[in-house]
Amino acid sequence: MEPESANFDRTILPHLDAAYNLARWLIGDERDAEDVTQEACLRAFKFFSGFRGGDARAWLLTIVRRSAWTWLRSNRRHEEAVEFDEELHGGVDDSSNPEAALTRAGDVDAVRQALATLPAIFREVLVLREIEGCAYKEIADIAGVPIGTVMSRLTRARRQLQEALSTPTPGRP
Amino acid sequence: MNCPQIQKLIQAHHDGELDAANTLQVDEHLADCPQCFDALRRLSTLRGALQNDALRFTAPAGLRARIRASVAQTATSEQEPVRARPWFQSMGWVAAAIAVVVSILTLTMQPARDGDRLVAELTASHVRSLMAAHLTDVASTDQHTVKPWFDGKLDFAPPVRDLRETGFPLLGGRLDFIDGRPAAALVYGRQKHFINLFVWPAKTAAPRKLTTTQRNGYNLAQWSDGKMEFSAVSDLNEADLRVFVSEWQGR
Repeated sequence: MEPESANFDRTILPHLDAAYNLARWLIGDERDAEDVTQEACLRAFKFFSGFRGGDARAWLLTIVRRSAWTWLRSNRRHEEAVEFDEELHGGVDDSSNPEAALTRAGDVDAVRQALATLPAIFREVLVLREIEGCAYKEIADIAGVPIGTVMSRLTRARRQLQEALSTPTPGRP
Repeated sequence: MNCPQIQKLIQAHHDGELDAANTLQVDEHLADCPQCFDALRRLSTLRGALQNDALRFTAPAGLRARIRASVAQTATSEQEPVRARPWFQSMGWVAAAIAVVVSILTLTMQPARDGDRLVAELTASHVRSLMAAHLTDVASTDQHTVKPWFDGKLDFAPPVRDLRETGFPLLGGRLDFIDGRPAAALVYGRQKHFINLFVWPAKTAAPRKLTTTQRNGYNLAQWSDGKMEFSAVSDLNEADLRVFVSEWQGR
């Protein structure tokens, strides 16, 4: 009787966990992430007639990401919400840091803490790549940037995370 | 290739995004270079640390139901006029013609009264629960499992009964959204048929007798005991649905 909402239910809502996971990592707070996810899903439904099939998860994540960034811009400190500008911040140093011993990689709380304190733009690529298992092309589509940008963000994100997980817990010897 | 060149490719290699020729070259280098191999090992360690289920958030209970409810509301109430405009602009007369047909269909189907709207909502919820393979949030035939599952998820405690002995086994429960508020959906089976029994707090304290309706081939049985509103929806025939209700009330 409502072919569009039933179709939406079947193709888009199975990706609700992925949508919430991305919103939650970007926004941090449980309630705010829930509100943003709900609002983004409703927006997705309104745009649903424009969905031409294909990767439903990437399509939904694109909308959720946009909503989450809009939220971040109006609710967070400026430096957190500014999208990273490769031009402005110069090229990427690809060399690995041999000091990065990753001593705390086995401590899930430390990993959660380290990921949560990365700049949002780096959190985003790591969550999409490592937790959601997205390919570079999908991340590029979701974030609306070239693949090269995805790669340089990933490099920086991984290096920062490696460094965070290689230093002792603050306050502990 | 030398180490700096390999370092540039090692991440793409690690992510499985490198073409075959480059993959081969990187692999050859890695076999001979402990330093580059160590960089790859660190990437793997990092991946292992991040691909931990504990780091993946899952949508809170009730979010799905709330989204379904607002989608249903958007689909039935504000409907086509809002969405029709961009279609006209971007897709020309074919889409325009479709939009007009859709608007006419939805307008003619648009419920006239409140009770009718509720019937449409209940039927839509029932159909969705079957279509989306999301019949239950908690699958259990044990009423002592289903009832406590609702604790903390609803602002009321729905009565839960198993009617297995009379041929209506309890299959589980689900959160839903009915009449603008969260509701419990109890799912019962009858051979190959399903019954969704929606339960939510009554607005008026006066009990209301059982009434039955039909909608799109589904039968609905609705009543209130003055505390809770009950609506059973099923593709069972009306007589069987009445049996279900009398068994439910008889306990």
